[in-house]
Amino acid sequence: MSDPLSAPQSPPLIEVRNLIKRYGSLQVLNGISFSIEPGDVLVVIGPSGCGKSTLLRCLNFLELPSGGEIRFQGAPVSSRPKELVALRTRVGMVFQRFHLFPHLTVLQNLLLAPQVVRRQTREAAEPRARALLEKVGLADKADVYPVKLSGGQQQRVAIARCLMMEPEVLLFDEPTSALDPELVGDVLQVMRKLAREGRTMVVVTHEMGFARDVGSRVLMLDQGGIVEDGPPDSVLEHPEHPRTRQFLHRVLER
Amino acid sequence: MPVVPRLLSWLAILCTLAVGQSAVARSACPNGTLSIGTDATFPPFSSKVGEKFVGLEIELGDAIAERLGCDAQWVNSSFDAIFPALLAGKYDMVIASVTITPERRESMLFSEPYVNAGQTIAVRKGSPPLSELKALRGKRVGVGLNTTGQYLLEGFTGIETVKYPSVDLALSDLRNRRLDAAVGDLPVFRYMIRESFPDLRLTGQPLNKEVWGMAFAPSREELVRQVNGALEHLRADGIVAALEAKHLGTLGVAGGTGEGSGTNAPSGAASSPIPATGATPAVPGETPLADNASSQRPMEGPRFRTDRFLASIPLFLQGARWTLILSLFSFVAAVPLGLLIAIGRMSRLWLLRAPTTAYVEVLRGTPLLVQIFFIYFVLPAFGLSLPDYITAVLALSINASAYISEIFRAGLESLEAGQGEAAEALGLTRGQALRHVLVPQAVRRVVPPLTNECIALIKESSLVSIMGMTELTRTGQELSSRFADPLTIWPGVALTYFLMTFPLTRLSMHLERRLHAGQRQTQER
Repeated sequence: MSDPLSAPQSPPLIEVRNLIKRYGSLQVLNGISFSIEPGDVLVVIGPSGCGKSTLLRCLNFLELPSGGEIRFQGAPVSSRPKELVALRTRVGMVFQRFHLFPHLTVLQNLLLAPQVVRRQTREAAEPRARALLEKVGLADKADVYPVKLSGGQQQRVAIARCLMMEPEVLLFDEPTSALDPELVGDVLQVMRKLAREGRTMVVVTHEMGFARDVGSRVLMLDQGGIVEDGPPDSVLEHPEHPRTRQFLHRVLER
Repeated sequence: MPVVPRLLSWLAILCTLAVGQSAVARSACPNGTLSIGTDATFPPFSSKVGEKFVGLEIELGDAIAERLGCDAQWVNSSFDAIFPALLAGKYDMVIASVTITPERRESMLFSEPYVNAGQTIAVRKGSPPLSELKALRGKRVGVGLNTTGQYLLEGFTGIETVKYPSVDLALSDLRNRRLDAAVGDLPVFRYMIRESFPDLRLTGQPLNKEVWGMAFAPSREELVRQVNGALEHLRADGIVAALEAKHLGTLGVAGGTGEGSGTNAPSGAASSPIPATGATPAVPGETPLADNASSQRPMEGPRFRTDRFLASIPLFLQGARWTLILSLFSFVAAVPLGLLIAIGRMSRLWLLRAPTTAYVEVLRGTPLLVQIFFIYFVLPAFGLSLPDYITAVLALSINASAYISEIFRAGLESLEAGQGEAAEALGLTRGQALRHVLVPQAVRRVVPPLTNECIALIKESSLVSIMGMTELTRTGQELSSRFADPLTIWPGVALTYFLMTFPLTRLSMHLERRLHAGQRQTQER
C-alpha cells in the first residue's frame, strides 16, 4: 500500500488533456484539461447536464473518451480491455445509487472483488473488510443483506467496498443526492474522514458546505467545459465567471 | 497429382467389395435382433397390453423372426411416422397393417401379402345405408390419416374427407354426429364396433380389394427374400391359418393367399375378397355384429366407463413417468443451454450475437412438431442415428432452450445497468461480472417464468408421441384405440397431465408472489 501522504511526485497522479466525449452528434465534453495531484480533494460542481458525471465516468473508463488523453502517473492509458480492467482497480468509484449487490451480504459485497480480481482468500481479505466496516460505522451489519439497510448505510457500505481494492483515487458521483436529508450527514462524515487521511478524491456534489470545508480545489463545469478552477475560497466566495455566480446563487437559495 | 488416381482405384476396389458382399447371402440379423416397426393402436392386429405387444401381426412377426433365427424387437411408432422412420433405417421392416399400393411400391419393397382386407363404410344405426362409394358424395366422411381409406376417397370427387390420427376417433366423431360415415379396414371396424360402438354398424361389402404386406427399405432385397421364404414355410405348416383363426376367425377376414396385385380395385366388384371363414359379410341394413357376446350386450350410448378408467390408471401413470422423465431431462439440458444462448445474444461481439439470435429466431418461428420431424428424420440421413428417447430429449431441449434464453435475456436486462457497472468499476471483467453479479441475480428473477416454461415443456412433450415414444399421450392413443373408447381414456390422460402441471402452477404463483414482495421491500427503502 502506497502511503497517500507521501510527497507529490513530479508527474501528477492523473492528467487529463483535451478530453472530448461525444454521444453521436451530441458533444458532452469539449476538450477538458486539468490534473490531479496526490492528496487532492477535487470537488466538481455545475448545473445538471453539464458533463460532471460523464467526466467522472471517463476517469475510470466506464465511458471511453472520444478524444484527448488521460495519463496516470505520466503514462498514457491505452484502450485495451485488459489494461482498462487493471486500471479500474486503481480508481475506485462510489455511485449515486450505491449499487450494492443485493444477492450478497454486506461482508460478501466487500469480499467479492478482492476474491475474484485479486484472487485473495476469504481468510486474507476478511479482517480488512471488518476493519473497513468498523471505519464506516457498520461493523454490526456485516452479515445483513443490503435490502435491510437505509440508503445512508448502503452508501457507507459502498464506500467500504470501494476501499477494499485500495484504490489510489476515489471518485464520488453525487454520493448523497439519492439520500434522505437526515442520512446525508453520516456519509459526508465518512468522506471527511477519508479526506483527512490524505486520500485523493474527485467528488461530484451539490453539497457546498462539503466543498468549502473539505475540498482542496473546486472545478466549475458548464456546457461541457471548465469555466472556473481554483481553491474553494476563491471559486465559491469570489467567483469570477457570471455563470458560476448564477449557479451558486441558485444552489444556495435552495 | 498421383494421389487422386490411386484414391480412385481404391474407391473402385471398395465398391466392388461392397457390391460383391451384398450379393452373398447373409444372416437376416447380423446382431441377432430383427427390429420391426409397428403402430400398436390397431387391434386385433397390433396393440399393446401394458408393456406387451399383442395381436396377429405381432405373433406372425415373432414367428418369422424365429424362423430366421432372430429375436424380433418391436418398435412402436405412429403410423404417420412409420415409413420415414423405416427409410431412415430406424428398423429393419414394418408390419403395421400396411396396404400394398403402387405409390408405396415406388419407395419401398413389400413382402408377399399376409392379410386380405378391404375398406368398408360405417354409419350410425338408423341412418340410411351408405353402401357404395358414390352414395358418399356430398357427405362428411372420416378416415385414418394416410390410410388406403383416405386414398380411396380422394380418388372420388365430391366427398368431404376428414382425416384422423387413428380411426377410433373417426368412429367417435361419427357417433357424435360430426360425420355422416367413416371408412376403414373391415376387420378393424368390426372389432371396434363390437368393442365400443354398439350404436354404429357397417353397411355392406368391402369397397375394394386390399392386401397387406410387410414393408422394407429399398436396399433390403435380401431380407425381403428371406421373409418371404419364412412366410411360405409358416403357411405350409398351417401356422398362418392358425393365427388367422385365433385372431380373425370370428371376424370373417382371412388371408392365406398369395394374391399378387396390390392395387386398389374399385369396388362393387362381384367377387368378395373375404373368404367365408365363419361369419358372412354384413348385409346392408343389418347389424354386422355376428359376434354373439356383443349382440347380447344391451344397447348403450357413449358413456364414461369407470371400471375401464380405473383399470387404466397404472398405464396412465407409466405414461406419465415417461413424460416426466423426458420433460425433466429436456429441462435440465435446456436451462444451461438457454443461459449460454442468452449471454451470446447480449454479447458485444457480432460473431456471438448473430448465430445465437438466428438460433432463437428460427426455433421460435417454426413449430415444435416440425422440429421433431426434422431431428427424427433428417439427422439419420446424415448418418446420425440416435435412440428415440435421446432424439426426443434433444428436440424438446433445443426447442425449450430458445424460449429459456429469452427468459434469461429478459431477466438480465431487467437488472439495473448500475449492477454491471459497479462490478466493472471494482475491476471485474465482463465475464466475471456476469458470473458473480448479474447471473446470480437474474436466476432469482427468472425462477417463476422458468417454472412456467417447465409446465409448457411437460405439455409439449406430448408431441413426441408422433415418434412412438410411449409417453402419456401415446399411451392415451394406444388405450383409446385398444378399447375403441376415447370417451373414457382421454379424460384420464387430461387429468394425469393436470395432476403433473398443477403443483408446478401453484409453485410458480407462490414464487412470483414472493419475488414481488421482495421487490416491494426493496422499493420501500
